[in-house]
Amino acid sequence: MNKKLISAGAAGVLLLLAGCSNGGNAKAPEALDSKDLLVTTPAPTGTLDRIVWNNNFGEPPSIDPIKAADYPASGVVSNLCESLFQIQPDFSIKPHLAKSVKNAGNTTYVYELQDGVTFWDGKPMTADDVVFSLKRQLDPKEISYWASSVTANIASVEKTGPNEVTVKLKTPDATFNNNLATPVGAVVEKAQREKAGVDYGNPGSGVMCTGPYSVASWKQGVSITLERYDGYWKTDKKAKTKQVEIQFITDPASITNALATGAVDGSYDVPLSAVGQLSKSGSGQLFRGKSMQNMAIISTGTGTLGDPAVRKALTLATDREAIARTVYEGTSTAAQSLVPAGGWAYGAEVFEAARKQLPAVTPNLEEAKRVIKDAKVDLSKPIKIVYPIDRTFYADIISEFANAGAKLGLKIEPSGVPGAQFGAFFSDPKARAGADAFVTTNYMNVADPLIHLAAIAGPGGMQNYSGFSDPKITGLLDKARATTDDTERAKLTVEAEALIMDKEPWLPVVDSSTRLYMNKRVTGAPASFVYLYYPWAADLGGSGK
Amino acid sequence: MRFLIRRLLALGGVLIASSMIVFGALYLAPGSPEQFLVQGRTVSPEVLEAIRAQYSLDDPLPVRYWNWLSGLFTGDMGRSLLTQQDVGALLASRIPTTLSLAVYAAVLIIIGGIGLGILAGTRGGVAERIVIFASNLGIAVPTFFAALVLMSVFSVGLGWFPVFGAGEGAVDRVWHLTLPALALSLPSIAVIARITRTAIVEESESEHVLIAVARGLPKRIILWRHTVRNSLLPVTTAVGMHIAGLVAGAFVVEYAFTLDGIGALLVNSVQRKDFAVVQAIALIMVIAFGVVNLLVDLLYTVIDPRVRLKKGQ
Repeated sequence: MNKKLISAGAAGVLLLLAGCSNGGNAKAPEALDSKDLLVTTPAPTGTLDRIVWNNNFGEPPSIDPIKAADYPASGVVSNLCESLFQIQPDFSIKPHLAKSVKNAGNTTYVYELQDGVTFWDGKPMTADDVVFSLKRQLDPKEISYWASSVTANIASVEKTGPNEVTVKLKTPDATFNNNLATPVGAVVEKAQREKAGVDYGNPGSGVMCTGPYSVASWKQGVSITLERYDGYWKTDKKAKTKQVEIQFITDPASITNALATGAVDGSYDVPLSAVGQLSKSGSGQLFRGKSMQNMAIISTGTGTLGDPAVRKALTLATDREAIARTVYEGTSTAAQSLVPAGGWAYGAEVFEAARKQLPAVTPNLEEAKRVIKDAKVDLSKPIKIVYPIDRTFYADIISEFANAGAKLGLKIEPSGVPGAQFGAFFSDPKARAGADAFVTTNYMNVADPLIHLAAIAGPGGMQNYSGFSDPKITGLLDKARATTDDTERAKLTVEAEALIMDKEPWLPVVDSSTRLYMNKRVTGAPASFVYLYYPWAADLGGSGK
Repeated sequence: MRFLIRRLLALGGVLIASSMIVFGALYLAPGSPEQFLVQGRTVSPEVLEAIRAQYSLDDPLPVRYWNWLSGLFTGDMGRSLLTQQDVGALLASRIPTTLSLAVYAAVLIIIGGIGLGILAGTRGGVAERIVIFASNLGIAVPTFFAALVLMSVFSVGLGWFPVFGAGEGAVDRVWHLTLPALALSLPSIAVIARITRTAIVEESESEHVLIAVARGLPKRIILWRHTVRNSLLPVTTAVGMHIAGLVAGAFVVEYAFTLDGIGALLVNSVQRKDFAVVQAIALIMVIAFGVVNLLVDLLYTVIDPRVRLKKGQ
């Protein structure tokens, strides 16, 4: 926002501001190598009484875990409520509230529960609580935002022992336990849920979970303060900071100022406009962490861009490395696939080797011109790409695509819509009508490429917005889902990946890094993209500075 | 008194009419509330249906409006779709912030705007030129930009004021709200200063003032009783309009300074079609507008007794 204002301004006041808040991003930063990205930050040397954090995406509407399906809520709830499995900073997934899992046939999972787990009110977590919590996903009246094809595949959830729960699936799904690391597997106290009624999860009644932090106070519109739960069951992972106050500042300039002045100690995914100033700040450090986020352009499957040849040619011709360098201020890398680089918790060798077979990210105009000859649509029709108008960096990205498109004879028109209206593009087919494509900054919930690819390109997938369906791809995805061996599953997944990237239901643009800023007095938060489902605040402590 | 009752009844009529318009507009606006709730996730159709049922989204417009209106008379403002919270409770925590911000800004507008206007209108010379120049700048600078500049200079640069939040307790609150109130009132101060100056200059050339000068009345009496008091009538109208608009305009500053006011909440709620919240805030804004205008009209009768005579006829 600042950049535009400054170029428009002539008065002295404006120049003064330029000096203050936009300290030199004149030359583009150097390209980022995804191998340099961090997983953790230096371990804390001491405990702290209080840390002030910021949730850049705003206030959670509710802290009910089954309603935490987006940044604002997930970034807070991850410290409060725990699931049967847990994602770790290195993206691996470990049993958590479940101590172990046994396969009984390929559609039955038997979970032995962790001993000694208590809710914040001191009551022990029982198998009944777990059964109740999992069944909430299946009850439409509970309004779970996680109710999807994954939960629809659950045939039954039963208590089969004092400390044992058995889940039966309708069809085999080797990714099911990985899904249980998200709020699909979240456990809440049954008694408190029933008592709270319609007020469950709101500031009045809250929730009752088992996490390292409980809610001390929730000042609506301002902040939510988390208080360490001293009876936390995993004694070696007890929170190092007594209180964490999470602010809800969303204005990019205000976030930058709050971090730069030390009014706020830290934040995940600081605004791109803040990168220049914060990376030179003397009051703290900007970390670039491993991420599962990426930016892509989603084809609606209609119009000129509905033709796979056009999509492929456009991606080939566009200089996405330049986008990563300039628009993202060097915090991203050009995306080779719709699976973000490094976004896997198993089969790393297979996935890495497959990268070498995918087309390179370097722009190749000759090849693009050759590919577009296969197009069967009318190329003179303009391509309308929709973006949320309050995120101006998307306009810069689309204009880079428009430049490349012009060289291929394509006419690309950016179209900005208000932020909240933009949300409807993801859920309402009526909103998408008339648009060729829309932008997305997407993330994988857990580091499982199979879940991600099935959501994008599988029939009925959660993120399949164009009705994309290819019998060969669907066959591979189904086969992979029924394969329990990790390496075998990875091999089938990369086969599907190659075919999907040949059709490009989405145009891959960049793989992000997680932009974590911490004041020099605090340290320890994971640098990688796990803050939506991993209790990041519990790792925060004092740096001794 | 009769005048007051008539005005209050009229305000009631305006409230009902505006609530109908807001409700209808929100109903007709594109997009369905349950789609905004799930924020881009593809959830099962049963869940979407459950949301629609829980908030009676499938009832026809007149039924929904009537349910809301009848609830209002029993003190039930409904439940927020987004936070599943009672709207009364949701607003109770936020109204004080917007109210104190608006009152603070109003005080700044009255003192700053009228004060500078009188200064420019009576002193002339350098003071006048400075005020005119500053008011030009003040009118031209949009509120959100003023907020950015003030924050950069006084919070980040000099560290005199906090960068976010509304503060707790009287002193802390004044400290937290100084920059937001200043940013909010700046354009109004500029406009009021100009109007006041023009009114004073005009008034000081009017016949009764010239006669007063000719009669050799003391300068102070000419200034305050003949010039300033008479020029206050148009100024009062303008001040009233600007103050009444503060509550509605507060959202820009609330957003920039992260204040938990109703303006920021309104924008968010409109975007997500959170009917109950939008209705409640719209009512509050209409009430604020009506009450301030009523006060201005009452003030007329104090400034100029002739106004009361006309009303009595």
